Amino acid sequence: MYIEMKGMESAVKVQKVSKYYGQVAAISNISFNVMKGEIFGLLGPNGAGKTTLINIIAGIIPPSSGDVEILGYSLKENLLKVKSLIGFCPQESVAYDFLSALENLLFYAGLYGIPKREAKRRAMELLDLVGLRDNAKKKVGKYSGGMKKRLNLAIALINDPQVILLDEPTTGLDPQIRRMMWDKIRELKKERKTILMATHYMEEADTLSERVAIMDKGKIIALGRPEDLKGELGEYSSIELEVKEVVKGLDEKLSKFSERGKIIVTGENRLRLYVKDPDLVLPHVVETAVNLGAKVLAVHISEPTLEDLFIKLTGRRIEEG
Amino acid sequence: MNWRGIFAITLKDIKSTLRDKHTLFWLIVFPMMMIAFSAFLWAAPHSPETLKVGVVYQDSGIQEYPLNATTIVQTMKEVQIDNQSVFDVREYDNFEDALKDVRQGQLDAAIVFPEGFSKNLTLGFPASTEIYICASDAYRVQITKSILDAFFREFSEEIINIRIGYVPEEYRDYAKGLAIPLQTNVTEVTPEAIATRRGLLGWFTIGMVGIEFLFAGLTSGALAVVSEREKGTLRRLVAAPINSWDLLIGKTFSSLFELAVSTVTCILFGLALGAKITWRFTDPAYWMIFLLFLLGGIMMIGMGLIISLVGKTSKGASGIAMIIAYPLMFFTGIWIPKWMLPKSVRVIAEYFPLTWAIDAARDIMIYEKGISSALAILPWLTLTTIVIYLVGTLAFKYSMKQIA
Repeated sequence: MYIEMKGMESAVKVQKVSKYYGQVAAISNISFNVMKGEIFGLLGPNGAGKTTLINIIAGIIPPSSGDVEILGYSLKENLLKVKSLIGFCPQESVAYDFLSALENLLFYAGLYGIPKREAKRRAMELLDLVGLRDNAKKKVGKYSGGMKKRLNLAIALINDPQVILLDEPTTGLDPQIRRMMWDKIRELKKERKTILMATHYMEEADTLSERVAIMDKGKIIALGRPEDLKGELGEYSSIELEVKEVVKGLDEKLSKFSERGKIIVTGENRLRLYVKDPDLVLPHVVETAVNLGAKVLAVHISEPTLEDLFIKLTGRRIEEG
Repeated sequence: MNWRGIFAITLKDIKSTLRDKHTLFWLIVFPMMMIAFSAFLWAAPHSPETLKVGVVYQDSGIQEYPLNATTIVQTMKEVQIDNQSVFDVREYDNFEDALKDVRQGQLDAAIVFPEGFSKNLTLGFPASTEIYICASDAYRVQITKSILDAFFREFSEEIINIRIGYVPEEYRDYAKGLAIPLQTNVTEVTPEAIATRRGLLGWFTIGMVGIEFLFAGLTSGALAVVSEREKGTLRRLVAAPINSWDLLIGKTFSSLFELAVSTVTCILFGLALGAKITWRFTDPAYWMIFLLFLLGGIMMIGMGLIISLVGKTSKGASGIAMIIAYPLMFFTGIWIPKWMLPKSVRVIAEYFPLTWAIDAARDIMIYEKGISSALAILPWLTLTTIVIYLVGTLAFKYSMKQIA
């Protein structure tokens, strides 16, 4: 799969990249481009191969085959140069607890060979950006999880990179802090930074990304603009029925209401069907379930999401992995 | 080489050390404690031994003869060294009670004066005593035996000198030869370093430097990669434009700094306690010590890096480092003098490269032997350091690959 956005220059070119551990393929023959100034999302469940792919693009592990180009530099041929162009923000905190935020930033600036005066100026700017200036001299060990994530982002930006790799940037954060992180990422977009973001949060990928690659079992199974991908589902809404127990014949009976494809059992006690007019169909769906002896616990109606597409393609929810 | 990156790693690790109370304890307080304990336990001036001795009189002629067993016992009671009695004498009515106390460790020895002892002693016949020594351990037996031997030998000589006065002058030497056919002069030889308290303390101070190299060097090498991996920072470090050499050199520099801090602490503390440690600015031998310590430090860090292959977690790696370091502490002659080690174990001390460095440093700083012993081991020390560090480097590079 190789989709380009016309009229735009590539910042990241992933070319037929595979990674094998023994006989097991962590990722298999992946290709895509990320355009300059674009936010590109890698969406998939845990174990889909997102982190392996990010690790390869960041130059942390070598691919078994294929290559990656960052701003025209081949990873294979110019590893250190490529690393100097990238800002990498892994999901775990990379700040040292015994150092202050400022000291952490100065340490990472040192790794990028940034002179001390310039490093200090840049560090203070970034602390402003992520809202940690007031805590600049506080030991990171005393930071909250959200503050550490924001500092992670600042560290990723210390070398003023053109390409930023974010690996699960908001995992473990509460919704408020997550939205704050999203705002910071949008600010980076305004600065024409290219952002490649791996996430297993469907909403995060949908909200932030201009294009999304959906990954599963080491492969890209869909790639495109979120609205285009969701459009593949047509004008269908989903009805998710949560029952105490899926009684015999329930999915078969309900499938006649699903106007697009077979009914999908998303969990042990959840059934999802796609309909054009949910308000009209819903009473019949519930009635059918009750008549069959199923105890209905909850009903959710939603517009098509990227998760629906993932379910359509894999038969599983993203969270299930 | 990204020297700014190397400096950043070194500085970061130094800050980590200086801000970690646990590490500071092991680097600074622990060696000071060990040196202080050594000064208190081993380098302290020894007080004279007092032997607990039981005496049993089986001799019925005590009242009849002027020179009798009580004369000897009375003398024993009066013998003092540095105002301390050499013998704590208890008199027993019967042999069984005295023997029982020896068996129970209440007495170091029991002396039995048999029937006829006083008569023989007075009339010039051979007078013998039976001595029963508590054989709790060989060391104690040796001490007891030598003190009693010395006492009886001296007492015999006194008696001979009195008796010899009754012998015509021209026969006295001949008669003395008959009385004491074999005269022995015992000279005790102790290793030079422990001949004085200051020397002994100096020996242990340099030994403590070696122990710190052993423990801190091994541990810092073992944790170089593991701790970063466990913190989750290794991936981020590898994503930065530094290569594994930069990271390794930065880590090595910071570990050497730790060892330098500990070494200076040990030596200053040893000197403060009165250790004999010399330094002469004009003598190149003393500057050689920096090289010896540098090689020793790099070697131990290299060994630690090899350990990191096996230890997958910080606890595991430092645990393995400790398991290796503890026996080496006792078997390498760094902390326990080689002459105290069993012959079979002494082989380890002879071939352990860090011992070469520490012994050479002792030769220069304590024994003042000059540069010769350092020069003798320098080629081998350098070679083994290079080999061990290179193997450690390979282990480090392998560990770095275990990111994903």
